Amino acid sequence: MAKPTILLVDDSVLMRTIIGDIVRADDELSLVGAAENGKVALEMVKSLKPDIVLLDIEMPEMSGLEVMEHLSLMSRAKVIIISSVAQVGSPEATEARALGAVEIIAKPSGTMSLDLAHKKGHDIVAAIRRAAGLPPPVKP
Amino acid sequence: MSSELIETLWRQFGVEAGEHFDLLEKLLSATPGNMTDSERIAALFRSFHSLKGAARAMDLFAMEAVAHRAETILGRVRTGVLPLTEEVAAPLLDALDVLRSLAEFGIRDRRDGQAPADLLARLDALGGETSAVKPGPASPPPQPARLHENERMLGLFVGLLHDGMATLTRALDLGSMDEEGLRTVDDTADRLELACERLNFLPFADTLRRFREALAVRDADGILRELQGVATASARIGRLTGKDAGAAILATLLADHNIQLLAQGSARADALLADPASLADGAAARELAGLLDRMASTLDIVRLPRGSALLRVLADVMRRAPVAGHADWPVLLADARSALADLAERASRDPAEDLDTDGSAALEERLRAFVDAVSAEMEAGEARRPLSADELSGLGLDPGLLRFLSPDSTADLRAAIADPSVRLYEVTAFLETSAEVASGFVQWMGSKVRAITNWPEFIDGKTWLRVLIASPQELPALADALAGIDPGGGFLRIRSCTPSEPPADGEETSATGPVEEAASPALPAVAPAVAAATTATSVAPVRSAAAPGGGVLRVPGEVVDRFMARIDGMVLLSGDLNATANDLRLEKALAALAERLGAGDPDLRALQEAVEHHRRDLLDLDTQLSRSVDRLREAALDLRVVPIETLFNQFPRVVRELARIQGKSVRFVMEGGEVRIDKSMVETLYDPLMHMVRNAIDHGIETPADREAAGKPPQATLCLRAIQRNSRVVVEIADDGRGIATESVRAKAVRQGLIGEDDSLQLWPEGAREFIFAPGFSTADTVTETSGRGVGMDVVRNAITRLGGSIAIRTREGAGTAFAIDLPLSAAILRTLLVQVDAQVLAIPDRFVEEVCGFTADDFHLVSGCWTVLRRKRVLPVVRLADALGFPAEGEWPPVGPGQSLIVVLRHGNRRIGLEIDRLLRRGDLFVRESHPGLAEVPGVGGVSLLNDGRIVIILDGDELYRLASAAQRREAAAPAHHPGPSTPS
Repeated sequence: MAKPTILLVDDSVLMRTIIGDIVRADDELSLVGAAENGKVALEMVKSLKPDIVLLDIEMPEMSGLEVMEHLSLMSRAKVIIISSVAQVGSPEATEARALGAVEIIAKPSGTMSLDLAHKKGHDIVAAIRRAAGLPPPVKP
Repeated sequence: MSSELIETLWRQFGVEAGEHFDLLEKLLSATPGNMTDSERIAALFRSFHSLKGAARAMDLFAMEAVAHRAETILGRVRTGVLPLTEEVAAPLLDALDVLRSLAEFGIRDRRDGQAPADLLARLDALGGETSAVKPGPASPPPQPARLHENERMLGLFVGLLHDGMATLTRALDLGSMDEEGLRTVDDTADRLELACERLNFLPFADTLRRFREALAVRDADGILRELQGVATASARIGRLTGKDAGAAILATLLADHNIQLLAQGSARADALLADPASLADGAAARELAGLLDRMASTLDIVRLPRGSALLRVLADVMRRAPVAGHADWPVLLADARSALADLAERASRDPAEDLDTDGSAALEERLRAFVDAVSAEMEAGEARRPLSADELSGLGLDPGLLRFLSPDSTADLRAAIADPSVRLYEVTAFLETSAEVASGFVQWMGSKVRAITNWPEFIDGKTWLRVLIASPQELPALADALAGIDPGGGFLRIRSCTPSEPPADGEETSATGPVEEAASPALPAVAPAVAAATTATSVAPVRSAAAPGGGVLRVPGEVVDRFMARIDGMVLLSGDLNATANDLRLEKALAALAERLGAGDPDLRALQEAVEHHRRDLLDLDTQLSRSVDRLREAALDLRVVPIETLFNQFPRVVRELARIQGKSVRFVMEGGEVRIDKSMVETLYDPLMHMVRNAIDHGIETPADREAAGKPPQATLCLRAIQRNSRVVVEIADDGRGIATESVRAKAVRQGLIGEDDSLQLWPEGAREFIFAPGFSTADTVTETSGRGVGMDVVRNAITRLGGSIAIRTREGAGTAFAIDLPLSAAILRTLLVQVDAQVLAIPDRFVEEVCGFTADDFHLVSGCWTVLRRKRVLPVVRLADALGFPAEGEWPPVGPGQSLIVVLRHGNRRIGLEIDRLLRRGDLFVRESHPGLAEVPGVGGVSLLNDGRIVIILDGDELYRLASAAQRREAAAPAHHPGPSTPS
């Protein structure tokens, strides 16, 4: 079976590096692209047709929620929100859910200390695997 | 997590945080003109938010805490709870400072710092809460909204539909559409289908699905039919939403398409049919067939079935061309033409008419018979049908190969492709060097493998032969065989043609490109493409650091400096080469050799000529290389320019602070930030500009009360602007304050003994202003904390002059003051005149040099104790450059004996002074380096640079040089007895 393909959308190159590294660490996932803003993301969704989109909310020009509106009409990709704005119960989270986000998780923190990196990376990878219908990752 | 990755993360963090800091600084200090308030607040919020996230990721929790509070405050500002007043902005600026230092600390020590508690408390007070947002109770996921009732979503959908329509209509032109085009159309239809499903427009989704099915099998009829359906559905959605869903476009396009297709088709088909010879060419016949098919589809839509049927049969015939040899062919073509003309005429009637049953049926019958008769012949011809470029690249072959494939070799290639037991290989051979290799290779080609085609290839200026072969053997076996023919290696290479795979990873294909399969260790493949691709890969990560929204590469300054230094190194080498190539000794030696040989030994003569020939080649190469190095250096210099905004952006905050301290109200305006200046100037200009900004606020701008009393608006305007004029930049700093009281400047100048009372009155008012640039001059009566000590305007002027610029002042009492700094675009490159004194090479800035003249000993005269020469009927005082600079001077002064003395005429304003030099070298553009601190203190020295031959050159400061020369001249006048020259008048 082909690996689920993942597109990462975040305006911060730092976050793209960190999350990208987390996703790449799972051999059963394939990171096919990373976009720095909503417009680029929509173009990449058109051409790359990812299975899963990891989406930040706070971005210049086009917010993650706006991106979701477009995505819901043009892509079958499952959207996972990775944002610290969208706390559970916040208006952003509610709206993201209404637009079809399958998961809402916080941005990774404590990347520098190895154990934390594993734990936080675990959250993201676990969410992706759930969305892709893969078995949960092995606990670190 | 690898340490390499961690290093990358810290670097990215540093760059990203730095960008946010700069942006925040700018946004907090002033609203940029091109931004609304709400845009500014949103950008502020986002920036603090991103900093928070980045800090968190790097374990910098103190930084996160500060950024989080700032974000919370801006969240309140964003929702209108809190206005963005001075009281709010000030702590945010403080927060920014703390963030900066925490980030610096974190990057340096790789650990968390401590945020000042009082700042956190102040921020909390504004943020209205004391802790981070607590996660609320987990709420059940809300029902997905019924999207088609959501007006925004409907709007988006109509937009998608409207935009997609043009793409969908491309399907009408099936004949000229390649796979790529087909995919694009299918993608669009797929997305629209999905959108329809999501919005519950199910019948519309069905139409689109059927359209895609028709598209997949290139069913032109189906496509047209479904497109009509799309037009109807989108017209309905347009009516529903009151927006343009593109239905009108589609309907118009469809109608246009039909009419055009018929008209164009008939004309083109007629032209093709009229020329049976051209139809013998497969391409023309295929074109005609496609055309006829499309016309038939159109006829179906406009319901002319007999015409349509006839055209389809005709198309079938054409598809089997070339069959020009058949006896019935010309007659058939003629009949087809007249039928087509008839059809075109009838179809264009209003309403359209179909063909007569009888005539069309008879022709159709004859055409079918013809098709049957020739179909057997067609089978054989198929093999010779040319391959398409796509087919070739699919086989791992260069599409450019197409022109080397004859019908015969095409048939061979098709046979090889169809044969599963053989594989294709490409052999690259150089047969010009070794006869054994050449004959062995030709023999091998003739007996062991099947050659399909060959073509020449130019590699490194040599002609290689490339051969496409088919062989049942595997690559290692073939490589071994070739190694047997070419034991030394290097003349024969082989690679297998691997069918290209569809790109698996969108991100990586672009970077890596195709990789050739290595032939064998003994036969390294020539792979310039791979080398290029590798370079591209290693460069690629830099791109990720590009600023969003532009093709801008962010490169650390030191990288550019290092790059420049390398280029300078290359310039040095190029200079060495130049010196070696032009070495007169070699030329002389060769000439002497030629003379000695005379008509002697012809072998030796030939050798001598060969050496001579090589020397000329070397000279040519040297010329080319130095030109190319020059161009490289020019291009590199472009890297050193930055927008002046980088400099300007450091001021808004200073202005605010100063104004606040002094209780003045100042509107700060910045213009022309996009003007680009040399990076080195940014640093040098900072201090002078800062000084003038401070002066303007301290002394120029009045308090609001004073301003109102003077009938001015209470808020003053301070404007910093840059204007580019050709190769110069003017930086202007203007205020609308009280201006400079010229009278008090004059009085003070007199008081300070800078000028006599009478003279000062003559100068007054314009000249008097110049005194503010005099050393130690100040009109301010009180020394404030911020200005009035430290640098004065004399230092400002000096700094600017050092950059090769000048400063002018405009002022009107009561109305304001403006300083205009006129600068060259690049301070780093200086045009100079290179001269030599003793062994030292000196560079005099070109703009100070009027001319260089030669004088003989008799031309020197003593006037008022100074040596002079007569130049253009004017007396020109002359000193030795060595004397002026305090170098030990040798030889007689003034010069004695025959020969000329070289005098550089130095210009300073309206004055001239002559400088005697030992040698004149040339003019040169020098890249000014910062001089050694010790050297900088030597009077007259402005900087140092390197000559092409590696010698150090001292760049003289024009103003200072003039001053020194004048001083030397005065010393001379004071002691004339020390210079008893021969022409001293008695």
